[in-house]
Amino acid sequence: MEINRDNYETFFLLYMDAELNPSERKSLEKFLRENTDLQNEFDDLAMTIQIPSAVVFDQKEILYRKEEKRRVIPVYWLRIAAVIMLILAGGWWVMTISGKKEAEALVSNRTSQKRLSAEEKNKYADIPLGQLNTEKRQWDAPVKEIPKSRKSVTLHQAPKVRREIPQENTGDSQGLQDQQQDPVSEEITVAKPKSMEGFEIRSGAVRFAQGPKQITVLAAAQTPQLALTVEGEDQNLLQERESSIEPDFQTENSISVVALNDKNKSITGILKKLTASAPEGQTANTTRKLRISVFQFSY
Amino acid sequence: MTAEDYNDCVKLYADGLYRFMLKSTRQVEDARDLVQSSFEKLWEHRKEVDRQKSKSYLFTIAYHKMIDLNRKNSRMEFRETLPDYLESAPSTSPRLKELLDKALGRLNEKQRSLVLLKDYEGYSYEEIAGITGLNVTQVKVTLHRARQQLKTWLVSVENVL
Repeated sequence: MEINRDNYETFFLLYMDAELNPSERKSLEKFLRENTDLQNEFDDLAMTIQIPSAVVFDQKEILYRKEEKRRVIPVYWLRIAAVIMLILAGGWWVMTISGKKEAEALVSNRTSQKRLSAEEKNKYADIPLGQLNTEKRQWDAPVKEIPKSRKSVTLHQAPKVRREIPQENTGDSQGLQDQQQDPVSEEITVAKPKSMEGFEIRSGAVRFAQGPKQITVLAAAQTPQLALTVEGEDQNLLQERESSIEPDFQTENSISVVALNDKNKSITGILKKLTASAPEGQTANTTRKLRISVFQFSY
Repeated sequence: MTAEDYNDCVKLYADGLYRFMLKSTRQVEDARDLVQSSFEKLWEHRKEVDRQKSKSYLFTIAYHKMIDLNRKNSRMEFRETLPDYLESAPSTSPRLKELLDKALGRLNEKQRSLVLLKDYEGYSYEEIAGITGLNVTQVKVTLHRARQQLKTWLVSVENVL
């Protein structure tokens, strides 16, 4: 573009901004020589160019930096840690699921176990009460072994032996005294663990016993229980009795699981039992005694 | 950019950046803070910043920080002259320099920054556009208007004197 008197201002400004190439600069200088009346205007614009001053930033020292040597953690360590965490999480999950299934199996087993034969009952009926608490039992029934690594315990074959306590029995235990006052049939619940650790069963609680591979049976009379008196029509009471009677095992109707705590490996429930006849001292056949026991079973 | 490159930037550009901030803000402490925070940012992003572009990166950061600071403080009580101790450069025309500083103080913030970037740092229109976020035409027009303003004021003062 040729410089003329119509566009010279733009060229002057571009000159001040050092935006002209060498040939344009020469053209502008030539134009100025030919148009001296514009020289003052050019000089006035040239005054606007700022004169750089030597300013020193005196705090450079605080700006200088050094590369920090960071400790490098190899990536493979992180990978190993991640794998370990995955294994632990998986193991925990498997243990949780298997424990839950085992607890459910335990409940179902309790309701489906077979009755022991009459001979089996008589066998335990002959055992004195004093020995029932401590005697080790040898079971003929085959026991399905559980690997030792699994500490959970599954009960099976828990026959209950019913014995009438003679009135002349003068045992010194509190349980026996209670039974003399209220001659209910004694329930003996026995079970055999599959694990190496023995434990003690009561209808009120379950705890580990001292001896290994041992099941200790306590008289039901020693367990905490709630006795209620219920009234009703004879036929209704008979039906209730039949529905809750448990010749060998408690049936579903007489055992109620109220809490299945998988986290703490325990089952809590209620054991209900209705007397077959009217309580002592009552002649009316419309009254029965209902005994409710709370049990907690740890596995 | 390595730490060594960064330290080279401190050595090469700290003075110029400080001058740009000082001339723009006319506040010594503000100028120092802006320089420090600009280099701080350069250090943080040193791995992404190319060594060749480090100067324009610094000026871009500083310019926008200055704009933010001015907006935040709403403080543009522009001093027309700098403290004497900062004017250490020998000058053949102290009177003209003083007048230029006063004239610079009469420009608005954008005009002043553009004049400084052009005259002090020698940036091209394109480079100034990159630093300020304006387009090239805006830079050109703004600069020309600024120079016309400066010329008008300087001529009028000179005539009075």
